[in-house]
Amino acid sequence: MPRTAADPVRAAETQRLRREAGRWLKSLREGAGLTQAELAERVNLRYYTFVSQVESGIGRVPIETQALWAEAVGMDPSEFARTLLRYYEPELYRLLFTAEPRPKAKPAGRKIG
Amino acid sequence: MATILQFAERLADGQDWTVSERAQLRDVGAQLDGVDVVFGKSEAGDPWCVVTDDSGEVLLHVARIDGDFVIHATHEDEIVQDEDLWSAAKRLLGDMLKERRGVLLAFPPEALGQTAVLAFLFAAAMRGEFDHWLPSSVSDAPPPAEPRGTTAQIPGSHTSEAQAAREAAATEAAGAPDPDAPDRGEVTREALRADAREAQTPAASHDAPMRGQGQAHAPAAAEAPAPTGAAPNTPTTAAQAGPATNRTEATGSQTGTASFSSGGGGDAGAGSTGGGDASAGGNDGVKTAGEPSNPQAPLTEFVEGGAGDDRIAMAGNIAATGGGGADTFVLTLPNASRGAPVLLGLVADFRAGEGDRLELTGKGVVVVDRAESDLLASVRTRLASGSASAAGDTPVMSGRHIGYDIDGDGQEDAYVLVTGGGVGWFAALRQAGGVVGDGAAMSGAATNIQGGEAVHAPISITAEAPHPPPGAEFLF
Repeated sequence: MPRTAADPVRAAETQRLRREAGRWLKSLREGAGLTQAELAERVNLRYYTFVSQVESGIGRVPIETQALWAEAVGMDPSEFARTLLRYYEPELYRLLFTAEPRPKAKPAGRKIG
Repeated sequence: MATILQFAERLADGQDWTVSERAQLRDVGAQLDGVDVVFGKSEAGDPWCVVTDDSGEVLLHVARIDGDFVIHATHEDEIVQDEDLWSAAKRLLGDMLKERRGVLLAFPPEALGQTAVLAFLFAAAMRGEFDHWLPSSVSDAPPPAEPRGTTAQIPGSHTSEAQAAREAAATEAAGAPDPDAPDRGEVTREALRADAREAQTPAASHDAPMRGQGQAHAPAAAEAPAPTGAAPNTPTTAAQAGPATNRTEATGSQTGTASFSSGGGGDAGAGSTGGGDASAGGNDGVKTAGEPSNPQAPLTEFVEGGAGDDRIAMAGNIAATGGGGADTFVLTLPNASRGAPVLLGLVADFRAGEGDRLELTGKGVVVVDRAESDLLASVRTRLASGSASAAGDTPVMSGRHIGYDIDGDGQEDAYVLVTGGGVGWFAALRQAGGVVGDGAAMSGAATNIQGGEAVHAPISITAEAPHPPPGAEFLF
Protein backbone atom coordinates (compact mmCIF):
# COMPACT_ATOMS: atom_id res chain seq x y z
CA MET A 1 0.00 0.00 0.00
CA PRO A 2 1.27 3.45 -0.75
CA ARG A 3 1.97 5.45 2.26
CA THR A 4 2.80 9.05 2.70
CA ALA A 5 4.69 10.65 5.49
CA ALA A 6 2.41 13.06 7.23
CA ASP A 7 3.01 16.17 9.21
CA PRO A 8 1.25 15.44 12.51
CA VAL A 9 -0.07 18.97 12.82
CA ARG A 10 -1.43 18.92 9.33
CA ALA A 11 -2.86 15.46 9.83
CA ALA A 12 -4.69 16.60 12.93
CA GLU A 13 -6.13 19.57 11.07
CA THR A 14 -7.18 17.32 8.25
CA GLN A 15 -8.87 15.05 10.70
CA ARG A 16 -10.70 17.91 12.32
CA LEU A 17 -11.96 19.21 9.02
CA ARG A 18 -13.12 15.79 7.96
CA ARG A 19 -15.07 15.36 11.12
CA GLU A 20 -16.72 18.66 10.38
CA ALA A 21 -17.44 17.50 6.87
CA GLY A 22 -18.92 14.31 8.26
CA ARG A 23 -21.24 16.16 10.54
CA TRP A 24 -22.27 18.41 7.70
CA LEU A 25 -22.94 15.47 5.42
CA LYS A 26 -24.93 13.72 8.07
CA SER A 27 -27.04 16.77 8.70
CA LEU A 28 -27.73 17.06 4.99
CA ARG A 29 -28.77 13.44 4.74
CA GLU A 30 -30.95 13.54 7.78
CA GLY A 31 -32.45 16.77 6.54
CA ALA A 32 -33.35 14.98 3.35
CA GLY A 33 -34.95 12.17 5.31
CA LEU A 34 -32.67 9.51 3.95
CA THR A 35 -31.13 6.58 5.62
CA GLN A 36 -27.53 5.79 4.95
CA ALA A 37 -28.56 2.86 2.82
CA GLU A 38 -31.02 4.92 0.83
CA LEU A 39 -28.44 7.56 0.17
CA ALA A 40 -25.91 4.95 -0.86
CA GLU A 41 -28.39 3.52 -3.30
CA ARG A 42 -29.07 6.89 -4.85
CA VAL A 43 -25.39 7.59 -5.15
CA ASN A 44 -24.70 4.14 -6.55
CA LEU A 45 -22.25 3.29 -3.83
CA ARG A 46 -21.14 -0.30 -3.83
CA TYR A 47 -21.46 -0.59 -0.08
CA TYR A 48 -23.56 1.65 2.04
CA THR A 49 -21.30 1.59 5.07
CA PHE A 50 -19.18 4.06 3.19
CA VAL A 51 -21.76 6.69 4.09
CA SER A 52 -21.29 5.92 7.73
CA GLN A 53 -17.56 6.10 7.26
CA VAL A 54 -17.48 9.57 5.75
CA GLU A 55 -20.08 10.83 8.18
CA SER A 56 -17.72 9.71 10.91
CA GLY A 57 -15.07 11.93 9.47
CA ILE A 58 -12.96 9.27 7.86
CA GLY A 59 -12.10 9.52 4.23
CA ARG A 60 -13.83 11.73 1.78
CA VAL A 61 -16.69 11.72 -0.65
CA PRO A 62 -15.25 10.77 -4.04
CA ILE A 63 -15.45 13.47 -6.66
CA GLU A 64 -17.29 11.23 -9.07
CA THR A 65 -20.13 10.74 -6.63
CA GLN A 66 -20.49 14.31 -5.46
CA ALA A 67 -23.05 15.35 -8.02
CA LEU A 68 -25.36 12.47 -7.25
CA TRP A 69 -24.77 12.90 -3.56
CA ALA A 70 -25.73 16.55 -3.79
CA GLU A 71 -28.86 15.76 -5.73
CA ALA A 72 -29.83 13.08 -3.27
CA VAL A 73 -29.75 15.50 -0.40
CA GLY A 74 -31.34 18.27 -2.40
CA MET A 75 -28.37 20.53 -2.76
CA ASP A 76 -26.83 22.28 -5.68
CA PRO A 77 -23.92 20.13 -6.86
CA SER A 78 -21.65 23.07 -7.35
CA GLU A 79 -22.25 24.38 -3.88
CA PHE A 80 -21.97 20.90 -2.49
CA ALA A 81 -18.61 20.32 -4.14
CA ARG A 82 -17.36 23.70 -3.12
CA THR A 83 -18.25 23.08 0.50
CA LEU A 84 -16.61 19.72 0.47
CA LEU A 85 -13.55 21.20 -1.10
CA ARG A 86 -13.31 23.60 1.77
CA TYR A 87 -13.22 20.69 4.13
CA TYR A 88 -11.12 18.33 2.12
CA GLU A 89 -8.66 20.66 0.44
CA PRO A 90 -8.70 23.88 2.40
CA GLU A 91 -5.61 25.26 0.76
CA LEU A 92 -6.93 24.62 -2.71
CA TYR A 93 -10.23 26.13 -1.68
CA ARG A 94 -8.42 29.20 -0.43
CA LEU A 95 -6.49 29.52 -3.63
CA LEU A 96 -9.54 29.12 -5.79
CA PHE A 97 -12.09 31.10 -3.94
CA THR A 98 -10.70 33.36 -1.29
CA ALA A 99 -7.02 34.00 -1.60
CA GLU A 100 -5.58 37.16 -3.02
CA PRO A 101 -3.00 36.62 -5.69
CA ARG A 102 0.43 36.14 -4.25
CA PRO A 103 3.15 38.51 -5.33
CA LYS A 104 5.32 37.17 -8.05
CA ALA A 105 8.45 35.52 -6.83
CA LYS A 106 11.65 37.15 -7.86
CA PRO A 107 13.63 35.15 -10.33
CA ALA A 108 16.24 32.98 -8.81
CA GLY A 109 19.84 33.93 -9.30
CA ARG A 110 22.61 35.70 -7.66
CA LYS A 111 24.38 38.82 -8.24
CA ILE A 112 27.63 38.46 -10.02
CA GLY A 113 30.19 41.12 -9.75
CA MET B 1 -5.67 9.10 14.78
CA ALA B 2 -9.36 8.84 15.10
CA THR B 3 -10.72 6.00 17.09
CA ILE B 4 -14.43 5.66 17.38
CA LEU B 5 -14.53 4.41 20.87
CA GLN B 6 -18.24 4.63 21.21
CA PHE B 7 -18.47 1.90 18.64
CA ALA B 8 -15.58 -0.13 19.78
CA GLU B 9 -16.97 -2.28 22.49
CA ARG B 10 -20.55 -2.85 21.52
CA LEU B 11 -20.16 -6.53 21.25
CA ALA B 12 -23.26 -7.67 22.98
CA ASP B 13 -25.79 -6.97 20.29
CA GLY B 14 -24.37 -9.58 18.00
CA GLN B 15 -23.93 -7.26 15.08
CA ASP B 16 -20.75 -5.50 15.87
CA TRP B 17 -17.39 -6.92 15.00
CA THR B 18 -16.62 -9.93 17.05
CA VAL B 19 -13.47 -10.17 19.03
CA SER B 20 -11.85 -12.43 16.51
CA GLU B 21 -12.91 -10.27 13.59
CA ARG B 22 -11.39 -7.28 15.26
CA ALA B 23 -8.25 -9.22 15.85
CA GLN B 24 -8.06 -10.20 12.23
CA LEU B 25 -8.71 -6.68 11.10
CA ARG B 26 -6.03 -5.37 13.37
CA ASP B 27 -3.77 -8.02 12.02
CA VAL B 28 -4.49 -6.88 8.50
CA GLY B 29 -3.94 -3.29 9.49
CA ALA B 30 -0.71 -4.05 11.27
CA GLN B 31 0.61 -5.78 8.21
CA LEU B 32 -0.05 -2.75 6.10
CA ASP B 33 2.82 -0.96 7.76
CA GLY B 34 2.09 1.68 10.27
CA VAL B 35 -1.57 2.30 9.69
CA ASP B 36 -4.46 3.06 11.94
CA VAL B 37 -7.45 0.79 12.32
CA VAL B 38 -10.78 2.35 13.12
CA PHE B 39 -13.96 0.46 13.86
CA GLY B 40 -17.39 1.86 13.27
CA LYS B 41 -20.94 0.88 12.81
CA SER B 42 -23.59 2.10 10.46
CA GLU B 43 -26.89 3.41 11.67
CA ALA B 44 -28.42 0.11 10.61
CA GLY B 45 -25.99 -1.75 12.80
CA ASP B 46 -23.61 -3.15 10.22
CA PRO B 47 -20.04 -2.90 11.35
CA TRP B 48 -17.34 -1.38 9.27
CA CYS B 49 -13.69 -0.86 9.71
CA VAL B 50 -11.18 1.25 7.90
CA VAL B 51 -7.45 1.01 7.71
CA THR B 52 -5.84 4.34 7.18
CA ASP B 53 -2.39 5.60 6.55
CA ASP B 54 -0.81 8.19 8.77
CA SER B 55 -2.36 10.94 6.70
CA GLY B 56 -5.79 9.66 7.51
CA GLU B 57 -6.38 8.45 3.99
CA VAL B 58 -8.36 5.28 3.81
CA LEU B 59 -6.49 2.30 2.46
CA LEU B 60 -9.07 -0.33 3.16
CA HIS B 61 -12.73 -0.24 3.97
CA VAL B 62 -14.08 -3.45 5.43
CA ALA B 63 -17.72 -4.04 6.19
CA ARG B 64 -19.85 -6.94 7.21
CA ILE B 65 -23.14 -6.61 5.42
CA ASP B 66 -25.74 -9.34 5.50
CA GLY B 67 -23.17 -11.74 6.79
CA ASP B 68 -20.69 -11.19 3.99
CA PHE B 69 -17.45 -9.37 4.32
CA VAL B 70 -16.81 -6.61 1.85
CA ILE B 71 -13.32 -5.26 1.53
CA HIS B 72 -12.52 -2.29 -0.64
CA ALA B 73 -8.93 -1.41 -1.42
CA THR B 74 -9.38 2.23 -2.18
CA HIS B 75 -6.18 2.93 -4.04
CA GLU B 76 -6.68 0.03 -6.38
CA ASP B 77 -10.45 0.47 -6.26
CA GLU B 78 -10.89 -3.23 -5.96
CA ILE B 79 -13.65 -4.85 -3.98
CA VAL B 80 -13.75 -8.38 -2.73
CA GLN B 81 -16.68 -10.05 -1.06
CA ASP B 82 -16.42 -13.27 0.82
CA GLU B 83 -18.05 -15.16 3.63
CA ASP B 84 -14.76 -15.35 5.45
CA LEU B 85 -12.95 -12.24 6.51
CA TRP B 86 -9.46 -13.58 6.28
CA SER B 87 -10.13 -15.19 2.93
CA ALA B 88 -11.43 -11.92 1.62
CA ALA B 89 -8.37 -10.11 2.83
CA LYS B 90 -6.10 -12.70 1.32
CA ARG B 91 -7.90 -12.52 -1.99
CA LEU B 92 -7.57 -8.82 -2.08
CA LEU B 93 -4.14 -8.34 -0.63
CA GLY B 94 -2.53 -11.59 -1.61
CA ASP B 95 1.03 -11.93 -0.55
CA MET B 96 0.92 -8.71 1.36
CA LEU B 97 -0.66 -10.65 4.16
CA LYS B 98 1.28 -13.17 6.08
CA GLU B 99 -0.37 -16.09 7.71
CA ARG B 100 -1.29 -15.60 11.27
CA ARG B 101 1.16 -16.84 13.76
CA GLY B 102 0.63 -19.77 15.94
CA VAL B 103 -1.28 -22.79 14.88
CA LEU B 104 -4.88 -22.20 14.21
CA LEU B 105 -6.89 -25.05 12.91
CA ALA B 106 -10.29 -23.91 11.92
CA PHE B 107 -12.86 -26.38 10.85
CA PRO B 108 -15.97 -25.46 9.01
CA PRO B 109 -19.42 -26.28 10.29
CA GLU B 110 -19.89 -28.90 7.63
CA ALA B 111 -17.09 -30.86 9.17
CA LEU B 112 -19.03 -31.25 12.34
CA GLY B 113 -20.45 -34.66 12.75
CA GLN B 114 -18.08 -36.36 10.42
CA THR B 115 -17.07 -39.72 11.64
CA ALA B 116 -14.03 -39.89 9.51
CA VAL B 117 -10.96 -39.11 11.46
CA LEU B 118 -8.71 -36.48 10.09
CA ALA B 119 -5.18 -36.74 11.22
CA PHE B 120 -2.96 -33.87 11.92
CA LEU B 121 0.09 -33.23 13.94
CA PHE B 122 -0.30 -30.72 16.63
CA ALA B 123 2.26 -28.07 17.04
CA ALA B 124 2.93 -28.18 20.67
CA ALA B 125 5.91 -26.98 22.49
CA MET B 126 5.80 -27.52 26.17
CA ARG B 127 8.05 -24.77 27.24
CA GLY B 128 8.40 -22.60 30.20
CA GLU B 129 9.01 -24.12 33.52
CA PHE B 130 8.02 -22.41 36.65
CA ASP B 131 9.37 -23.12 40.02
CA HIS B 132 7.53 -23.07 43.29
CA TRP B 133 4.13 -23.18 41.74
CA LEU B 134 2.29 -25.96 43.28
CA PRO B 135 1.27 -26.00 46.89
CA SER B 136 2.38 -29.21 48.48
CA SER B 137 -1.12 -29.99 49.62
CA VAL B 138 -2.28 -30.23 46.07
CA SER B 139 -0.23 -33.28 45.41
CA ASP B 140 -2.31 -35.23 47.85
CA ALA B 141 -5.54 -34.35 46.23
CA PRO B 142 -7.13 -37.28 44.49
CA PRO B 143 -7.68 -36.85 40.81
CA PRO B 144 -11.30 -36.20 40.04
CA ALA B 145 -13.06 -38.89 38.20
CA GLU B 146 -14.62 -38.03 34.92
CA PRO B 147 -16.85 -40.14 32.77
CA ARG B 148 -15.70 -41.15 29.38
CA GLY B 149 -16.61 -39.04 26.50
CA THR B 150 -16.27 -35.93 28.49
CA THR B 151 -15.04 -32.61 27.52
CA ALA B 152 -13.67 -30.18 29.99
CA GLN B 153 -15.58 -27.00 29.82
CA ILE B 154 -15.14 -23.92 31.84
CA PRO B 155 -18.06 -21.60 32.00
CA GLY B 156 -16.97 -18.15 31.10
CA SER B 157 -18.44 -14.81 31.60
CA HIS B 158 -20.85 -15.28 28.78
CA THR B 159 -22.40 -18.42 30.07
CA SER B 160 -26.11 -18.07 30.40
CA GLU B 161 -27.84 -19.03 33.56
CA ALA B 162 -29.55 -21.89 31.84
CA GLN B 163 -26.29 -23.17 30.53
CA ALA B 164 -24.70 -22.75 33.89
CA ALA B 165 -27.49 -24.76 35.41
CA ARG B 166 -27.07 -27.49 32.84
CA GLU B 167 -23.36 -27.54 33.36
CA ALA B 168 -23.79 -27.61 37.09
CA ALA B 169 -26.09 -30.58 36.72
CA ALA B 170 -23.59 -32.26 34.46
CA THR B 171 -20.86 -31.57 36.93
CA GLU B 172 -22.91 -33.07 39.69
CA ALA B 173 -23.61 -36.10 37.61
CA ALA B 174 -19.99 -36.41 36.72
CA GLY B 175 -19.03 -36.32 40.32
CA ALA B 176 -20.71 -39.63 41.00
CA PRO B 177 -19.25 -42.10 38.56
CA ASP B 178 -20.69 -45.54 38.45
CA PRO B 179 -18.13 -47.90 39.90
CA ASP B 180 -19.72 -50.81 38.12
CA ALA B 181 -19.06 -49.42 34.74
CA PRO B 182 -15.68 -50.77 33.76
CA ASP B 183 -15.85 -49.40 30.29
CA ARG B 184 -15.77 -45.89 31.59
CA GLY B 185 -12.08 -46.28 31.41
CA GLU B 186 -10.81 -43.65 33.71
CA VAL B 187 -7.15 -43.21 33.50
CA THR B 188 -5.76 -44.44 36.74
CA ARG B 189 -2.62 -43.39 38.41
CA GLU B 190 -1.38 -46.91 38.06
CA ALA B 191 -1.92 -46.78 34.36
CA LEU B 192 -0.16 -43.49 34.20
CA ARG B 193 2.76 -44.83 36.13
CA ALA B 194 2.94 -47.86 33.88
CA ASP B 195 2.90 -45.73 30.81
CA ALA B 196 5.39 -43.37 32.27
CA ARG B 197 7.70 -46.28 32.88
CA GLU B 198 7.26 -47.36 29.32
CA ALA B 199 7.96 -43.89 28.17
CA GLN B 200 11.23 -44.02 30.03
CA THR B 201 12.37 -47.25 28.48
CA PRO B 202 14.86 -47.35 25.63
CA ALA B 203 12.21 -48.95 23.51
CA ALA B 204 10.41 -45.68 23.50
CA SER B 205 13.43 -43.72 22.56
CA HIS B 206 12.64 -43.84 18.89
CA ASP B 207 9.86 -41.46 19.67
CA ALA B 208 12.29 -38.77 20.53
CA PRO B 209 13.48 -36.48 17.80
CA MET B 210 16.73 -37.57 16.31
CA ARG B 211 19.52 -35.24 17.13
CA GLY B 212 21.76 -36.05 14.30
CA GLN B 213 23.58 -38.73 12.50
CA GLY B 214 26.16 -40.68 14.38
CA GLN B 215 24.53 -40.38 17.69
CA ALA B 216 24.99 -43.55 19.61
CA HIS B 217 21.43 -43.77 20.75
CA ALA B 218 18.44 -41.64 20.93
CA PRO B 219 17.73 -40.18 24.31
CA ALA B 220 15.06 -41.57 26.48
CA ALA B 221 11.80 -39.80 26.32
CA ALA B 222 12.35 -38.11 29.62
CA GLU B 223 15.61 -36.70 28.40
CA ALA B 224 14.46 -35.84 24.98
CA PRO B 225 14.03 -32.22 24.10
CA ALA B 226 10.56 -30.93 24.26
CA PRO B 227 8.62 -31.39 21.09
CA THR B 228 8.47 -28.18 19.25
CA GLY B 229 5.77 -26.70 17.18
CA ALA B 230 4.76 -28.64 14.14
CA ALA B 231 7.73 -30.94 14.20
CA PRO B 232 6.73 -33.14 11.32
CA ASN B 233 8.65 -36.21 12.33
CA THR B 234 7.62 -36.53 15.88
CA PRO B 235 6.00 -39.90 16.12
CA THR B 236 3.00 -40.28 18.28
CA THR B 237 2.98 -42.69 21.12
CA ALA B 238 0.25 -43.69 23.39
CA ALA B 239 1.84 -41.58 26.00
CA GLN B 240 1.78 -38.58 23.77
CA ALA B 241 -1.35 -38.90 21.82
CA GLY B 242 -4.88 -39.14 22.83
CA PRO B 243 -7.76 -36.87 23.19
CA ALA B 244 -8.63 -35.03 26.25
CA THR B 245 -12.18 -35.93 26.31
CA ASN B 246 -12.42 -39.63 26.51
CA ARG B 247 -11.33 -41.32 29.62
CA THR B 248 -10.65 -44.79 28.42
CA GLU B 249 -7.92 -46.98 29.69
CA ALA B 250 -4.67 -46.48 27.96
CA THR B 251 -3.08 -49.51 26.51
CA GLY B 252 0.45 -48.36 26.64
CA SER B 253 0.99 -49.10 23.02
CA GLN B 254 3.92 -47.16 21.80
CA THR B 255 3.71 -47.21 18.10
CA GLY B 256 1.40 -47.49 15.27
CA THR B 257 -1.83 -46.93 17.04
CA ALA B 258 -3.64 -43.90 16.07
CA SER B 259 -5.29 -41.99 18.78
CA PHE B 260 -8.09 -39.68 18.23
CA SER B 261 -9.67 -36.74 19.76
CA SER B 262 -13.35 -36.90 19.96
CA GLY B 263 -14.52 -33.82 21.44
CA GLY B 264 -18.02 -34.77 22.11
CA GLY B 265 -20.83 -33.70 19.96
CA GLY B 266 -19.36 -35.19 16.89
CA ASP B 267 -16.85 -32.58 16.11
CA ALA B 268 -14.35 -33.33 13.52
CA GLY B 269 -11.89 -35.59 15.17
CA ALA B 270 -8.24 -35.15 15.02
CA GLY B 271 -5.37 -37.32 15.83
CA SER B 272 -1.96 -38.40 14.86
CA THR B 273 -0.86 -41.51 13.20
CA GLY B 274 1.80 -43.68 14.58
CA GLY B 275 4.08 -42.70 11.82
CA GLY B 276 3.85 -39.15 12.80
CA ASP B 277 2.84 -37.84 9.44
CA ALA B 278 0.52 -34.98 9.69
CA SER B 279 -2.44 -34.12 7.67
CA ALA B 280 -5.44 -32.03 8.11
CA GLY B 281 -8.75 -32.37 6.51
CA GLY B 282 -11.89 -30.42 6.50
CA ASN B 283 -10.03 -27.53 7.94
CA ASP B 284 -10.49 -24.49 5.85
CA GLY B 285 -8.08 -21.83 6.65
CA VAL B 286 -5.60 -23.96 8.47
CA LYS B 287 -2.96 -21.73 9.85
CA THR B 288 0.42 -22.98 10.67
CA ALA B 289 3.37 -21.26 12.03
CA GLY B 290 6.97 -21.75 12.55
CA GLU B 291 8.88 -22.05 15.69
CA PRO B 292 8.46 -19.43 18.31
CA SER B 293 11.36 -17.09 18.16
CA ASN B 294 12.09 -17.66 21.79
CA PRO B 295 10.40 -20.77 23.02
CA GLN B 296 11.77 -20.37 26.50
CA ALA B 297 9.86 -17.17 27.02
CA PRO B 298 6.24 -17.96 27.72
CA LEU B 299 3.43 -16.08 26.11
CA THR B 300 5.37 -14.65 23.27
CA GLU B 301 2.94 -15.86 20.66
CA PHE B 302 -0.55 -14.51 20.50
CA VAL B 303 -3.00 -16.51 18.50
CA GLU B 304 -6.41 -15.21 17.65
CA GLY B 305 -9.11 -17.43 16.38
CA GLY B 306 -11.52 -16.60 13.66
CA ALA B 307 -15.20 -15.95 13.71
CA GLY B 308 -16.17 -19.57 13.47
CA ASP B 309 -15.36 -22.71 15.36
CA ASP B 310 -11.64 -22.87 15.67
CA ARG B 311 -9.18 -25.45 16.83
CA ILE B 312 -6.19 -23.79 18.29
CA ALA B 313 -3.16 -25.83 19.15
CA MET B 314 -1.74 -24.38 22.29
CA ALA B 315 1.78 -24.41 23.54
CA GLY B 316 3.62 -23.06 26.49
CA ASN B 317 4.45 -19.81 24.86
CA ILE B 318 1.04 -19.19 23.36
CA ALA B 319 -1.79 -17.07 24.62
CA ALA B 320 -4.90 -17.41 22.55
CA THR B 321 -8.36 -16.10 22.05
CA GLY B 322 -10.79 -18.24 20.20
CA GLY B 323 -13.04 -15.42 19.14
CA GLY B 324 -16.55 -16.25 18.19
CA GLY B 325 -17.92 -19.70 17.80
CA ALA B 326 -17.27 -22.87 19.68
CA ASP B 327 -13.54 -23.01 19.92
CA THR B 328 -11.39 -25.92 20.92
CA PHE B 329 -8.10 -25.22 22.59
CA VAL B 330 -5.91 -28.21 22.14
CA LEU B 331 -3.45 -28.77 24.93
CA THR B 332 -0.63 -31.17 24.37
CA LEU B 333 0.72 -32.76 27.47
CA PRO B 334 4.35 -33.68 27.64
CA ASN B 335 5.04 -37.36 27.73
CA ALA B 336 7.16 -37.17 30.81
CA SER B 337 7.38 -35.01 33.85
CA ARG B 338 10.01 -32.36 33.77
CA GLY B 339 10.07 -31.63 37.42
CA ALA B 340 8.52 -28.23 37.63
CA PRO B 341 5.11 -27.88 36.03
CA VAL B 342 5.18 -26.64 32.50
CA LEU B 343 2.74 -24.21 31.03
CA LEU B 344 0.53 -25.58 28.29
CA GLY B 345 -0.77 -22.19 27.26
CA LEU B 346 -3.11 -19.42 28.26
CA VAL B 347 -6.66 -19.21 27.03
CA ALA B 348 -7.77 -15.62 27.23
CA ASP B 349 -11.40 -15.71 26.20
CA PHE B 350 -12.83 -19.00 27.27
CA ARG B 351 -16.59 -18.94 26.90
CA ALA B 352 -18.35 -22.13 27.70
CA GLY B 353 -21.60 -20.57 26.66
CA GLU B 354 -20.32 -20.44 23.12
CA GLY B 355 -19.15 -24.01 23.26
CA ASP B 356 -15.50 -23.36 23.97
CA ARG B 357 -13.65 -26.27 25.43
CA LEU B 358 -10.27 -27.58 26.31
CA GLU B 359 -9.03 -30.70 24.69
CA LEU B 360 -6.03 -32.64 25.80
CA THR B 361 -3.65 -34.53 23.67
CA GLY B 362 -1.66 -36.78 25.88
CA LYS B 363 -2.28 -38.59 29.06
CA GLY B 364 -2.95 -37.15 32.44
CA VAL B 365 -5.47 -36.42 35.08
CA VAL B 366 -6.56 -33.18 36.60
CA VAL B 367 -5.01 -32.75 39.99
CA VAL B 368 -5.30 -29.02 40.34
CA ASP B 369 -8.26 -26.83 39.62
CA ARG B 370 -8.08 -23.62 41.48
CA ALA B 371 -9.16 -20.07 41.06
CA GLU B 372 -6.44 -17.52 40.65
CA SER B 373 -7.10 -13.94 41.51
CA ASP B 374 -4.15 -12.92 39.39
CA LEU B 375 -3.77 -15.38 36.63
CA LEU B 376 -0.44 -14.01 35.52
CA ALA B 377 1.11 -13.92 38.94
CA SER B 378 3.64 -16.56 38.19
CA VAL B 379 4.36 -15.73 34.61
CA ARG B 380 4.13 -11.98 34.54
CA THR B 381 7.82 -11.48 35.01
CA ARG B 382 8.51 -13.68 32.05
CA LEU B 383 5.77 -12.27 29.93
CA ALA B 384 7.67 -9.64 28.09
CA SER B 385 11.15 -9.95 26.88
CA GLY B 386 12.80 -6.70 27.74
CA SER B 387 9.61 -4.97 28.65
CA ALA B 388 9.23 -5.50 32.33
CA SER B 389 7.32 -2.30 32.84
CA ALA B 390 4.78 -3.29 30.26
CA ALA B 391 4.46 -6.69 31.86
CA GLY B 392 3.96 -5.13 35.23
CA ASP B 393 1.22 -2.98 33.83
CA THR B 394 -0.73 -5.88 32.50
CA PRO B 395 -4.11 -5.67 34.16
CA VAL B 396 -4.78 -8.22 36.82
CA MET B 397 -7.23 -10.80 35.63
CA SER B 398 -8.62 -13.66 37.58
CA GLY B 399 -9.08 -17.07 36.11
CA ARG B 400 -8.44 -20.70 36.69
CA HIS B 401 -5.34 -22.74 36.96
CA ILE B 402 -5.85 -26.30 35.84
CA GLY B 403 -3.04 -28.69 36.48
CA TYR B 404 -2.46 -32.16 35.15
CA ASP B 405 -0.54 -35.08 36.49
CA ILE B 406 1.00 -37.01 33.66
CA ASP B 407 3.11 -39.61 35.43
CA GLY B 408 0.73 -40.77 38.09
CA ASP B 409 2.55 -39.42 41.09
CA GLY B 410 -0.20 -37.03 41.98
CA GLN B 411 1.99 -34.04 41.34
CA GLU B 412 1.12 -31.41 38.86
CA ASP B 413 3.30 -31.70 35.80
CA ALA B 414 1.63 -29.33 33.40
CA TYR B 415 -1.02 -26.71 33.61
CA VAL B 416 -3.12 -24.36 31.59
CA LEU B 417 -4.31 -20.91 32.54
CA VAL B 418 -7.83 -20.02 31.55
CA THR B 419 -9.78 -16.82 31.82
CA GLY B 420 -12.71 -15.12 30.25
CA GLY B 421 -10.76 -11.89 30.27
CA GLY B 422 -11.58 -11.09 26.72
CA VAL B 423 -10.24 -8.88 24.01
CA GLY B 424 -9.17 -5.94 26.06
CA TRP B 425 -7.14 -7.93 28.44
CA PHE B 426 -5.70 -9.92 25.60
CA ALA B 427 -4.69 -6.71 23.89
CA ALA B 428 -2.92 -5.61 27.02
CA LEU B 429 -1.31 -8.99 27.21
CA ARG B 430 -0.14 -8.68 23.65
CA GLN B 431 1.39 -5.37 24.41
CA ALA B 432 3.11 -6.72 27.47
CA GLY B 433 4.34 -9.56 25.37
CA GLY B 434 6.01 -7.13 23.06
CA VAL B 435 3.39 -7.07 20.36
CA VAL B 436 2.59 -3.51 19.49
CA GLY B 437 0.73 -1.64 16.85
CA ASP B 438 -2.87 -1.95 17.84
CA GLY B 439 -3.50 1.64 18.60
CA ALA B 440 -7.19 1.56 18.05
CA ALA B 441 -7.56 -1.74 19.75
CA MET B 442 -5.67 -0.64 22.77
CA SER B 443 -7.71 2.49 22.99
CA GLY B 444 -10.77 0.44 23.41
CA ALA B 445 -9.24 -2.07 25.69
CA ALA B 446 -10.03 -0.52 29.01
CA THR B 447 -13.73 -1.08 28.77
CA ASN B 448 -13.29 -4.74 28.24
CA ILE B 449 -10.77 -5.05 30.98
CA GLN B 450 -13.21 -3.59 33.39
CA GLY B 451 -15.96 -5.71 32.02
CA GLY B 452 -13.96 -8.85 31.88
CA GLU B 453 -15.21 -11.49 34.20
CA ALA B 454 -13.19 -14.19 35.70
CA VAL B 455 -13.91 -17.79 35.15
CA HIS B 456 -14.98 -18.80 38.58
CA ALA B 457 -17.13 -21.76 37.88
CA PRO B 458 -15.57 -25.16 38.20
CA ILE B 459 -14.80 -27.33 35.29
CA SER B 460 -17.94 -28.90 34.12
CA ILE B 461 -18.29 -32.07 32.25
CA THR B 462 -20.45 -32.60 29.29
CA ALA B 463 -22.14 -35.91 29.11
CA GLU B 464 -21.86 -36.43 25.43
CA ALA B 465 -20.58 -39.83 24.58
CA PRO B 466 -17.85 -40.16 22.03
CA HIS B 467 -18.15 -42.09 18.86
CA PRO B 468 -14.75 -43.59 18.48
CA PRO B 469 -13.71 -45.04 15.19
CA PRO B 470 -12.62 -48.64 15.25
CA GLY B 471 -9.24 -49.07 16.76
CA ALA B 472 -9.16 -45.72 18.35
CA GLU B 473 -7.74 -45.44 21.79
CA PHE B 474 -9.34 -42.89 23.90
CA LEU B 475 -7.02 -42.00 26.62
CA PHE B 476 -9.15 -39.28 28.12
